[in-house]
Amino acid sequence: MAKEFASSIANETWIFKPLPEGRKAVKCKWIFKIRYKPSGEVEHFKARLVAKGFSRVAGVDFNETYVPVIKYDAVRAVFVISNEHGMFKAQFDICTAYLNADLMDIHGTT
Amino acid sequence: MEQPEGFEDADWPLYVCLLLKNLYGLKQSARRWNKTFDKFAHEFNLLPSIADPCVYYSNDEQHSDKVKTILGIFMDDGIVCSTNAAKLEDILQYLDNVFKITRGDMGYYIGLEVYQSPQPGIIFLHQHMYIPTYS
Repeated sequence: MAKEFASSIANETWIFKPLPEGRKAVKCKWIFKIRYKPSGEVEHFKARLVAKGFSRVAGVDFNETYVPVIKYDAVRAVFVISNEHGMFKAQFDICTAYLNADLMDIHGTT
Repeated sequence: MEQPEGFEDADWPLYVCLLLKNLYGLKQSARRWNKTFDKFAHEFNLLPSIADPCVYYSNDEQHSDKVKTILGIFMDDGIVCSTNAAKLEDILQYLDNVFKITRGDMGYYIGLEVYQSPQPGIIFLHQHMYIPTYS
């Protein structure tokens, strides 16, 4: 938990500010999970800070939430094409992907 | 956002956190991440396909070997294929520098099990492990 908090600080996830008048702060909470090995042994304890985003109002607190995900047809097509061209393949997984993103873009919208 | 429990700032207990970076649980979290990745892909000259915006490709005509590269991304799970092994390493290295990645073998991708035959040119996709879950 201290590690996750330290990474939030290192990441400059937030800055401390007084609450603007008439606004409410989003609540947040810690989620704790125990990761088990396939054998049933405890692998490690995991802590993640999540914001309770459900209290936010569309258009006021955020604008766009649409996100594309890949179609399985496209995945199959990628395999076919890579095969035809005899491509080298690799699979990867991005660690705590969400935390890499800035919340504001240059226009200040979220 | 409120200050996280157990880590309240002793000097400014009444202050709140103005979020600059994405956090899990926000409505816009997923989209913000996708935007970030999209920017990364463009920096690497990978363009989104018209057919599926999560498939990026580059077709390097200037390169003497005419390197072709395809990348598929499902939130944080990706596959990259390239005709050039060095280019493939390049992308993975760069991804790791920017985001930190873990590399897996090609045997499993977003619920699909991938079997590559030793005979070149044959890939077999299946979801065998779902069968016990549903029966």
